[in-house]
Amino acid sequence: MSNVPRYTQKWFEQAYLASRPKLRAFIRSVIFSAEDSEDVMQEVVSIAWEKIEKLQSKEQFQPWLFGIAKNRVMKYCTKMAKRKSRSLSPEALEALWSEHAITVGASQESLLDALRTCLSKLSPEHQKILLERHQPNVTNRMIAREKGYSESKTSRLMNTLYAELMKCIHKIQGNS
Amino acid sequence: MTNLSKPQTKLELLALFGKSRDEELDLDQTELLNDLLISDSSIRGLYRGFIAIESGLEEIAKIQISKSAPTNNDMSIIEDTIVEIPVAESSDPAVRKNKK
Repeated sequence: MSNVPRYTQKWFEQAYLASRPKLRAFIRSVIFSAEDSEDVMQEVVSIAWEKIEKLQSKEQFQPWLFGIAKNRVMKYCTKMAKRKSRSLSPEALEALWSEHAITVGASQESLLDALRTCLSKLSPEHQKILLERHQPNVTNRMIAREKGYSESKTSRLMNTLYAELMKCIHKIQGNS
Repeated sequence: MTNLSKPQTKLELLALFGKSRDEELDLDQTELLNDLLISDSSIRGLYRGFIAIESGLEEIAKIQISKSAPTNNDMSIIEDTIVEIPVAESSDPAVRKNKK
């Protein structure tokens, strides 16, 4: 029996990088803290690499990676629920997971392409605000302070822009 | 079950989701969000759409930042663990190079 690993580091890096945006979206959908979310991402990639020889085939990489992520996120949610901290409950995670698992195969690139298209349809000022808002550790409160808006006005503006983006993306994806 | 009333409009729901992303939910609002996600598949759908847009915007913002400055790569964790993995027989030169 050969001791040659089936998966090289280079292959793993490429496979992981291709899955990373969707993995990040999944973890962020459950863990509210950006910092904790990044910590869990690091744990997931570390565990995946340590256990890579358990992967049955290269084609199974993404569901396998998401299985590891689900376990780590579930542990996090259970720990936070015991502490009565602000986090999604394990039950809410299960409900989201059952539907996430179905959409794991969908292309993140096509979503990003649609998002870029929809973003470009907004005014330059609104594009700028949205992208500033989504830089690491930037909150609505910071944007409000910078623009001289009230927090509620900023929140309403953001929510209106999200709703516009959702409608636009839905239209593009519905037509493709 | 929380005493807060259920959001009636899409914008109210988005406001609740937005607070979760900014870590500004209080315990009652967190409970409300959990209840809504467990009980209503259309709200789960909206939440997934919201998260997809948020994550996509973060990705686009990150790309813009990385164009102007070098950033840390979370693959560095692999560099720390690679030495513990039996890679001596690997035919990949990149893997052999990393064995210490």
